[in-house]
Amino acid sequence: MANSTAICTSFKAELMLGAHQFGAVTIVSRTSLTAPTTDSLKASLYLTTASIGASTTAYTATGEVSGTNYSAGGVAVTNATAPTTSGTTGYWTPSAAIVYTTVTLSTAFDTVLLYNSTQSNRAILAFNFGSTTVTAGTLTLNMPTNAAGTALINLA
Amino acid sequence: MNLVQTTQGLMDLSRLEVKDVVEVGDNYRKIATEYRLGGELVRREVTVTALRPIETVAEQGVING
Repeated sequence: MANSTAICTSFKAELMLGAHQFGAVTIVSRTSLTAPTTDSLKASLYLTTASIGASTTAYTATGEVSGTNYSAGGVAVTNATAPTTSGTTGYWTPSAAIVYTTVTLSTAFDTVLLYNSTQSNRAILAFNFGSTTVTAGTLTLNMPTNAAGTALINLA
Repeated sequence: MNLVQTTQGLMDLSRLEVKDVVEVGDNYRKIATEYRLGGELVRREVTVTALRPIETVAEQGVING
């Protein structure tokens, strides 16, 4: 097998694991360097009039939805499966659906922001699912299959 | 009796008109289930399924390129 030019596949997953530190970024302690805790993630919802997207760096209350049974900052994201690799892809998906139970969100919203609530609410991704409202009902965001090519985050 | 939560409290499902509204976008499928009582919307629940991943290509630069 000949040598080749590539970004190492393991690095793609390790980015999501926080295994590399190229700069002097300030992080919140993960308790132990040898047995660190997993960061907590959350998911907040945004009105269609908000500006959440690639340039978003952290959770913001600006443009966030409000309504019955919705708390500012959103809900916890279940993260029981660590990032991994397959082929040349690093990937990760929340390990359960994101659920907002019996909410009333009357003003149209269209985007969920996943962010790291342990690390200064740093933004991870924004997902636009089209304008919607919920009335005395449950909003369920089902996650895709956690595999290369289908996972919520793919670093290909 | 099958009760569901509505804007008017718990209500027997048999009293309500139920309709699914399906929308498919570039990267999602959305099903909104609307419950109406005499034409008035009393419950609307939504399920969104992500259809495509959010993908980033990690590109390597060229050394002395």
